[in-house]
Amino acid sequence: MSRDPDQPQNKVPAQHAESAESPTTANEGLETMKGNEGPGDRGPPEDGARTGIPDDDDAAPFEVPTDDEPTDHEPTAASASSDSRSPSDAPPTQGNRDEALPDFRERAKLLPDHATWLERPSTIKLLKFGSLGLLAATVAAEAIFVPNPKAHFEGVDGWLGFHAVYGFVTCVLMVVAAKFVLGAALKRKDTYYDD
Amino acid sequence: MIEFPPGLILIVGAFVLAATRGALFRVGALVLPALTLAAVWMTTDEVVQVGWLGQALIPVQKNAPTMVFATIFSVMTLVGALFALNMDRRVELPAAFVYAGSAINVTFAGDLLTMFIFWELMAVGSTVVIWSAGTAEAETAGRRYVNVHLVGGAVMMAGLALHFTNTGSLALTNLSNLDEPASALILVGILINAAAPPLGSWLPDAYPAASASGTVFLSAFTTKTAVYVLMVLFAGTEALIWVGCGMAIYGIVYAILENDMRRILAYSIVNQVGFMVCGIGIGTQMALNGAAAHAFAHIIYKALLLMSAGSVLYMTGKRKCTELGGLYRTMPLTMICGTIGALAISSFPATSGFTTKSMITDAAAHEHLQTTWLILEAASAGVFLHAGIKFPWFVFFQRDSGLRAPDPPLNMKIAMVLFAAACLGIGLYPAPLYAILPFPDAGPNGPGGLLYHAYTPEHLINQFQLLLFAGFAFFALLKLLKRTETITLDADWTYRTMFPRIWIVVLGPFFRWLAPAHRFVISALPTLIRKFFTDDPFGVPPHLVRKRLEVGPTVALLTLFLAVVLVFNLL
Repeated sequence: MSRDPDQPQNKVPAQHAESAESPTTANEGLETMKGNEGPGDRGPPEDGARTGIPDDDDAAPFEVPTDDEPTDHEPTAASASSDSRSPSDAPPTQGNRDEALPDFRERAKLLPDHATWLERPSTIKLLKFGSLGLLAATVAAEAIFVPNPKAHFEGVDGWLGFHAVYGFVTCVLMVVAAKFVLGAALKRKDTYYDD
Repeated sequence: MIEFPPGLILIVGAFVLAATRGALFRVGALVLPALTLAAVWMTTDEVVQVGWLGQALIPVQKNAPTMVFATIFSVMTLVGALFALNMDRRVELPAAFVYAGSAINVTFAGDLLTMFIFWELMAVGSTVVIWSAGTAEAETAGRRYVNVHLVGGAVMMAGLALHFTNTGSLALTNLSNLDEPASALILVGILINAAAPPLGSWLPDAYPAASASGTVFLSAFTTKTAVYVLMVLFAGTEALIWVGCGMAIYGIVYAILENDMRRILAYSIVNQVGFMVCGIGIGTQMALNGAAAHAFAHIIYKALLLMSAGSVLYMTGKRKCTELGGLYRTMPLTMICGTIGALAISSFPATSGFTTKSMITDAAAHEHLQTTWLILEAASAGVFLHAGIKFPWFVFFQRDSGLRAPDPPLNMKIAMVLFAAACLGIGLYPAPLYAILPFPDAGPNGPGGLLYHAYTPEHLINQFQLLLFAGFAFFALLKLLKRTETITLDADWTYRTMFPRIWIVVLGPFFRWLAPAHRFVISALPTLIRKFFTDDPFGVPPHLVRKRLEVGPTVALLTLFLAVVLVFNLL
């Protein structure tokens, strides 16, 4: 019972066929994705129907990377292929049965670096504004299709955009509570139990 | 037609499977779950009774929620075995079969003792699944896991014994009167398995320590069997509403802070089981249908998410969000399947969560439980935040981590595609699932009508608003959500750090301080007494001094003695 040896060989030509981007475009795309933390993920991107949500600084130019990014991985094709796949970097694997893992890493070197459609600045811009439009559309749809929304509880819900406001506000509250209450009290380094 | 509990096929088959190798192993791994699924469906409504120790035990009885749980347990075992097939896990897979077979037999149990026997056998099987990952982390996590479950089993057994003493009956009845100590003990025993905080920290501790395929099996059975047992014994217990709401919020808040992708998914199990527990607490037919349907859908999409995470782990060896990202390029199928699972767990329209989980929130609204409804709606939004977007975003998009692993081997891909199709299938055409729910005729249209209409314009728009604005919150707060290499302490801290520290700092020194007194009591005092009462200053004559037995022979002797008592008892 070994892994299918034919599979990566089949895969490599297919990946090469996709990577028609020039190196400059590739790097720009990657830079953008890293710098602005990119678009939303609501669905399979390859069908072109992927939607995105802007981050908090959507007025900023898309090409400006933020300063507080982790610098452990430079987003260039060359460094990515050299630093993260050296055998010494091989992580501890799950159990002794996965010893063949470096093999995958060797094969993975054959796969090309390329910026996909998804990483182009123009696409990210489109996704950001498209997703904002989608948010507005859900509220507009309620106004059009459910003119008299039924309240489950009088005085609580049943008004235009209740679910939009409630979803957003409760999520912000949960994130803030998690980060500043629970996290502040109980967060430890992930080697805490190893020591 | 079938006069044995169907799970026995898996339990007995597991031992045969463990002895086979190569192609035979692979064929057996797929045939046994398929046979079990067939047996589950061939079991008639006939009740099978067996006399044992003076009790009439009922190993085969179809209770209201039996079919929905037994079916999904069998399907899960089949697809899980397919996922694990290439990894040649000759210990893990048979152990998983014992685990799954026991879970299936719990759903067919017609009395409390049979239920308990298979309930405990599940703990044994699942522990071996964890240990078979073979890592040091799995070994220690598995030890903690089995200890928690043995304690839980002991609490439950105490409750069952008390219940039997009080009532003289082992029949499955509603035990929702928690003023009875027996009911309260049984409930605590079940809630430990359901992973209700603070008793549930074993789950995020142990599940991510298992192998890529082991976690997939683990995610399916223990908590959902607990949901089944709660449904049979504790439907309508009001306390469960609040336990469920607490679980739903707790799972989200912890998952938000988590960095390990499989721990994120482990916390989201707690969150999702919270919905089911809440539904059982509400206790109406619609709520129980919702809880059962949601358990069915949950097993599929959670396994799918963990298969997707397992594929990433298997192919890259990495599990932390801080090390992953950008994998959509080289693992497109894993990304698509993982995203479908993520949408299903978020109850996105057209996926299984939308046609199942909504029944529970609607039941809360129908019963005018305002606070419960508000908490469940908030938790629904939070699911999208902590699992629906967070998991695919940090693993497959986010940034280029430099990892270029391809999609996993064929069998793993097929398993993921099957469950992804099931997520969409139940979302688009839920009628076959509704037909096997505990109360299939409870819908607004009565018998024959569709049980629940999820696709009303209002429901669709409300759900889109809730989820998309939750997604907006995710990207608006992305800076706060940036992952760091940290963990968040959970209740397992008490037995991993606090108790050992108390032992080292307080009890250890105290006992050492007591040592002289102890020595005085066991050696100096008897000598003094002997000197006081006997004339002979040298004590007992040498030929009368008995030799002390070592620990091993003492245990052997005790075991033999107990065996003799048991044999006499049976005669």
